[in-house]
Amino acid sequence: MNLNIRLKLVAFTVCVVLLVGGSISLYSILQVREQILTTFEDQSQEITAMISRDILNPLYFFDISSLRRQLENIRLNPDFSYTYITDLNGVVLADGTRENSLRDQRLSDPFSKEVMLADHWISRTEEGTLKIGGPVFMADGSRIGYLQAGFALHRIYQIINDTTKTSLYITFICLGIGAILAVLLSASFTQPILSIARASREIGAGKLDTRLPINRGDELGTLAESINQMAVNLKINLERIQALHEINLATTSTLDTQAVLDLLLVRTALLLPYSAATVTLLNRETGELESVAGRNLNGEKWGTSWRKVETGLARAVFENKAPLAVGNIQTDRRTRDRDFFLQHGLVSYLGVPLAVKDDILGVLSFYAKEEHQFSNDEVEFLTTLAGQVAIAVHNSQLYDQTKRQAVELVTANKAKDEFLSVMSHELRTPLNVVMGYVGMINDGLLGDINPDQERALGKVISRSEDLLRMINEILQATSLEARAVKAESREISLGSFLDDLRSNYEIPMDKQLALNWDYPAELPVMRTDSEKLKHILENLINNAVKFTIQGNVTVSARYNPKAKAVEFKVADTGVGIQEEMIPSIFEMFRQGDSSETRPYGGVGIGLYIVKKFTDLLGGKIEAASEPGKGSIFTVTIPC
Amino acid sequence: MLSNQAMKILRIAFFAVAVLLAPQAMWAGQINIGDIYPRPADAIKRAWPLVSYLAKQLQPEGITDGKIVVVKTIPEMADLLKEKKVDLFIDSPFPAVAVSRLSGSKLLLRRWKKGVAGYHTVIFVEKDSGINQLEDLKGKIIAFEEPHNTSSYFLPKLVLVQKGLKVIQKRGASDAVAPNEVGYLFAGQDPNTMFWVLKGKASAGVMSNENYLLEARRYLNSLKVIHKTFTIPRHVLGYRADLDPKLVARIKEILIKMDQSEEGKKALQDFEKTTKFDEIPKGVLNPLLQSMKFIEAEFNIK
Repeated sequence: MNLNIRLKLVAFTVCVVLLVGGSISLYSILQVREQILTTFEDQSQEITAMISRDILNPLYFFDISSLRRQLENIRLNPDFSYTYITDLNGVVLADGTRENSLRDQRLSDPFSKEVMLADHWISRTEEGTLKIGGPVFMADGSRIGYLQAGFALHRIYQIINDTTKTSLYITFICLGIGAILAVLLSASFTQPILSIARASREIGAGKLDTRLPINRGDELGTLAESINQMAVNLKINLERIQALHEINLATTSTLDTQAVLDLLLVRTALLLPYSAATVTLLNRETGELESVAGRNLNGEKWGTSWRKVETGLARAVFENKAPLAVGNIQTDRRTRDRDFFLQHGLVSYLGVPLAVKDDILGVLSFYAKEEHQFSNDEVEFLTTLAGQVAIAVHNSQLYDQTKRQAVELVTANKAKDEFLSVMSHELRTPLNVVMGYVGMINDGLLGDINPDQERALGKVISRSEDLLRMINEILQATSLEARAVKAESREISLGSFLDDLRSNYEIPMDKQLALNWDYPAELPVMRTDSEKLKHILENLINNAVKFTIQGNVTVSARYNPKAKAVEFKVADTGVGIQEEMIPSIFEMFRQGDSSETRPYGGVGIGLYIVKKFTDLLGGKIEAASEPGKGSIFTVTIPC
Repeated sequence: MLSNQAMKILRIAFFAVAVLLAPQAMWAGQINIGDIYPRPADAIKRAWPLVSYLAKQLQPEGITDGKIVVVKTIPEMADLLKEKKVDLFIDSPFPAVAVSRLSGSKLLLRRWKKGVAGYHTVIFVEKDSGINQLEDLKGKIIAFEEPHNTSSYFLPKLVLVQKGLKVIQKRGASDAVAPNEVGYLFAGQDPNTMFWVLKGKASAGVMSNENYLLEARRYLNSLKVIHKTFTIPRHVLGYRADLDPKLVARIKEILIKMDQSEEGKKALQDFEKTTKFDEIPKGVLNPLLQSMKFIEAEFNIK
């Protein structure tokens, strides 16, 4: 059967009440009956014994008249059915009747025989009569006769019946009351249980304002109180979590420290109704704690007052890097300006450090207008809150710092670009003039020159060309930095392109170096900026030649149909590059050897430009090298 | 070798000697002590400690048990003595003397009660009554306690009779008393006697000296004693005349020594605070023995 707990409880309780009550009642009735009969028997024996004491003297003297008179008086009591006094032979001396009709008759019934053999009072219940009989003794133990008395039991039975009826009436009434009480009691248990279940469901569904209106001192009351307290705690915790979430959201969505602090104070004011709260942050320049935010300090005055909040207690928190709770600010030795707190009626204080790892940024302070013992729970929550805020403050401070540095960097970069542009332009113009005149001299346009002069001028021209190239590269790099360089793609025949490039290098070199070209005869037409591709490859080839004393430099090209790209490789057997330098060789002003005593010239812009041009062409460049064995630069350009 | 006949004779002789030399019980059976009292239950109850003690002490003499026999009258007691149904009896001196007179029994010992061996009777009147001597009671009513009471009836009545006064019982205080006689009434209890005298219902009253001290202690200024009788024992113990003298001697010995053992003292104390038994002093009963006619008249002995 699927009965609810209330019905089960009612059924069980009623059954228990009926069973226990009925059993007790039945037992009680039987006990009372037994007790009444026992008491009646005891009393009857006592009465019989009393009679025996009263008849001692007349029985001793066989004073029949006295015996008759005494028994007649006794028989006036309706409880007596009969009375006999016999001599030692069982012959009746008096029977209690006026006629004394049994006189001289010998009693021979079984009970009389038993009485004559007995040494004490014996009793039997027969035919509604309690028979009691026994010998009559004198003080010296001599037996002088026998006494028998019959006690009518109908009156006792009537009493027993009346008592039984009364007991049953009372029992039924009590059982009825018990059953009603059981139902009420069950209801008093199950109703709160149902309320608790309903409230638990509502709380579970998020209705945290649900409260159980149970006001009782038993376990259910305790349970209801616990559930109410649980709801309160859940609400508090939820509000705290929401506050943490909001503050966390604020810390991740804004870098405005003031906004975060204001939100923090608003939320804490809602959650923890302290009288005032302030945020003090460390001024890293002055080393002082400065109040940067505050709330709820005396209305209008708060607008200016919170900045003047004395920071003695906050300083203690800051220095100890731990929360500090002060029950009474006035009596704490760390308080500097007692008048301030007295003026604003602030009594208790709690400060928690705004800490990011081991760095203490400031202190979050709370003030109460009544003496308040801050609980561990409060301290723990506010410490968590302070941790969030500290991160926000930290992020904000970092952001501010980064922003400042970025501005400074942009300014510096701009100045550098401008400088380089101006300087390059201003250097190239006179250099071109110098190179023009030197070329004219070298070509003999300004007169004959001897071989030594010719060689010297050749070196001047060569170095000037290096210098011009370097200036051009700087200008190129500056343009790249300024994002002023654009790729201008057009279709080129790659084979022709490589043939032209090769022809530029068919000149004798002044060192034991072989320049090998390896590309197939059939190469596709590709769409790219040929000038920049040419600059890339030339730069790589020139570098290879430059850093290879002897051996060979191999330039190869292969078309990869799957990738629809052409892979160019420039491999040399030169000095190679240290492994740790490889990732930075494409950065501006970087060379494999950046030391001032390096044997090779250049400013380290070439590879930077190569990387930038490759990027402009949508390709990629990779470098592999082993110091002392050579390097391989691979450029992949899409067709 | 003795012949069979000789052996038979020898065995018979040996048996006879053995029987003759064996310790013999002095007196077999139970010893019965008589008491004259209208309430046998009380009488048996009070005498039982003495009887059981005595029977126990007499066991070596062959006594197996003791019994108290209660009768209502002196003649009945006398008859039982004569029929040997009673061996001993205890009573106050007047009935005891009367029983002896009727049955021929003898008086053996005096019983001390509550530390007192004997008592006497005082006859008292109101101080202002003008009665100063017994003769002044002529024409007046005297209150006795109850009939057959030694101190409150027999003894004062004997004294009055010995004084030659004619003592007549009256039905009530209003009955006329002749000038040459002394009328008497029974008050039933000593307090009644005292009350009657104080209220004038009786001109004089009688009490044992012990009871008088108790009852009159608050009225001593209003009363005066006009006569004190001779002293008689409280109780005496008698025995039937044909009781074995050796057994009598043994009984006498046991009773006289009874107060010398703890068990005996306990039995005496339980027997109405009896102090001890001793010999009846010589001559102490002479006033009674010399008044046998009075006793015979009182007890209707012919």
